[in-house]
Amino acid sequence: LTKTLSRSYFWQGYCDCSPFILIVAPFGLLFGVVATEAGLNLIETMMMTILVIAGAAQFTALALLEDQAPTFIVVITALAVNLRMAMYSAALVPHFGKASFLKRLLASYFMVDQTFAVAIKKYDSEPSLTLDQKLIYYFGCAAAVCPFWYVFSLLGALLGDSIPSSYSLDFAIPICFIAITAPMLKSLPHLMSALVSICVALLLAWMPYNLWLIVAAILAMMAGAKTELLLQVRLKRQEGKA
Amino acid sequence: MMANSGNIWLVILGLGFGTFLIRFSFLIPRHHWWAPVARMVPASFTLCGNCSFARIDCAISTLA
Repeated sequence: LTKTLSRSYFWQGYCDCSPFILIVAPFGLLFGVVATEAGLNLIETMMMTILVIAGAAQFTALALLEDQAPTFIVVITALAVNLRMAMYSAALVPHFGKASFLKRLLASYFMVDQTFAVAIKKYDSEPSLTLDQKLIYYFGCAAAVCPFWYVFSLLGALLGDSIPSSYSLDFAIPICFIAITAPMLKSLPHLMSALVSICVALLLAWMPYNLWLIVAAILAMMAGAKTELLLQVRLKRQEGKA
Repeated sequence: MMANSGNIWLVILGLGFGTFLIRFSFLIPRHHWWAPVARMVPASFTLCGNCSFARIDCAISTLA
């Protein structure tokens, strides 16, 4: 019975995350093609895909490598893109905090936007899930995303130029991030962060080594935090008057 | 024109290890000796105590 239940949670996770395959497949394919065109060999492309599993950061690193940016700048900028995962890690502590060290290591490795977004929604809607059920569900989500990311990156690297540019695979990148980001823009501070990041990024597009990304992200964080503080102050004032 | 192969491997390993550290940063057991060091990775990017990770996520996802 336990095995059947485990399988059930695994397949639930797999099914809930499976719509993302439609996005991950062209995204991975595109990464393989771009990496090959940028001069990475098959082993380098696959090592980056397997070690990092973070499309946006991988594309950022490739763009900076092509710009001949210093290695330090490449790593720091790409890591800045991945900093959102620190929030995912913090958000998963109440759910995975008591899991064994090995299971937490594995959960960390498979912590990508899609697995986090789908799993956390499930945990919020079903708070009675046990630790094992949560972990099994999470790994089910990962099984629907990560293998496809590896396989399609490999295909992209192998096929390379033979994929016609008319297929416009690059559509997958904005679609993927709109699907992940849009539901998060729930409050005024979030909207303010998004607005500031867009405006500053456009204004500073001239900066070398894609440094506009870090500057705009930091300013957007500050704008969001400041907006949140102002809202809290206003709320306290209103409560004081009442 | 791509950087030399040595630089590529430095980027792959640096990005791979750094990303894993960010992912694992809050899931490290509190008593583990390197937990405070690992937590410094995201914390060092947080300019002030009022900047929450929600803002980082929102801003960077939008940029990406």
